[in-house]
Amino acid sequence: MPLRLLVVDDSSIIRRVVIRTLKMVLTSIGEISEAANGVEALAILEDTEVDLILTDINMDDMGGIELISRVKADDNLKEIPIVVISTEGNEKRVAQLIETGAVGYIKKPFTPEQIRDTICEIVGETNE
Amino acid sequence: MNEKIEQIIVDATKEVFEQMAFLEVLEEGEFENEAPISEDPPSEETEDRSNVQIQSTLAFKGRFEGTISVAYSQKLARILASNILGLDEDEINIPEDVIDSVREVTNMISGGILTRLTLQGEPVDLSVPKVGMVDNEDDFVEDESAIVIKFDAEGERVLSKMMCSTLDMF
Repeated sequence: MPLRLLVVDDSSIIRRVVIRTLKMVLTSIGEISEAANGVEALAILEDTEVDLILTDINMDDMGGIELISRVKADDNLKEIPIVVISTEGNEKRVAQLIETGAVGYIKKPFTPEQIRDTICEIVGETNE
Repeated sequence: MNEKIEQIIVDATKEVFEQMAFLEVLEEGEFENEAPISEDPPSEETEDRSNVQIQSTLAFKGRFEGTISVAYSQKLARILASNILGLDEDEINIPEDVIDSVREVTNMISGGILTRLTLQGEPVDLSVPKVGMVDNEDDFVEDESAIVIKFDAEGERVLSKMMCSTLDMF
């Protein structure tokens, strides 16, 4: 089944790079939605089915940590896996994000292989 | 100057340019045919080397605070944007894509520097990088609170600077 994705980042450049990379490395991609912050992301999630969320942390209006908390607190959304893509990189910080509810972490700058390996590990897809 | 921080700035800058923009970046000392840094007006040999024209600065605040700035020419900024987006230069939106790329490059370089400098789990707040035009390198001068590293990418100058009043704590 094609993977439906939501990419959340205040940088349109990063959103476009992530989407381009996802299309390169994943074999089955469905609809991809974009949001510039957590507020926009939650609005999209109200009426769009999503299989995976990729989110930055530092964003205006609502950052990634609050977005993760809100999604995990919503019975309709809490099963959606969330991967953080961020410039923050130390191990303790990553562990904190996982405790909040993220299932994966990709540090910027990233390679296509890092995106592929993280996403495939989560969704169980191979790119043969 | 603090060699540890210098190396961290070098590593973070190279990592971003190479992984996101697929550009090889050489430190000033690594240039094969290095043009001399001179206070004099550019000679004929260096006249075609673009000076920095775009600067992006981010402020950070935590256990220590300061700013990180990156500067390059408009030509290199367009190359960065097109490489990051995987588009030809005539396909990118100018100035929006260029400004966004410059901002994001500074964001990632700063993240790379601060991740290497901070203790595990130590919080650091980062501002959104501000982008502006410049016409000289006057902001990129080393002193007791500022480290500046000069690079070359695609024959264009890149300057990375970290300013922090407590550099000696590292």
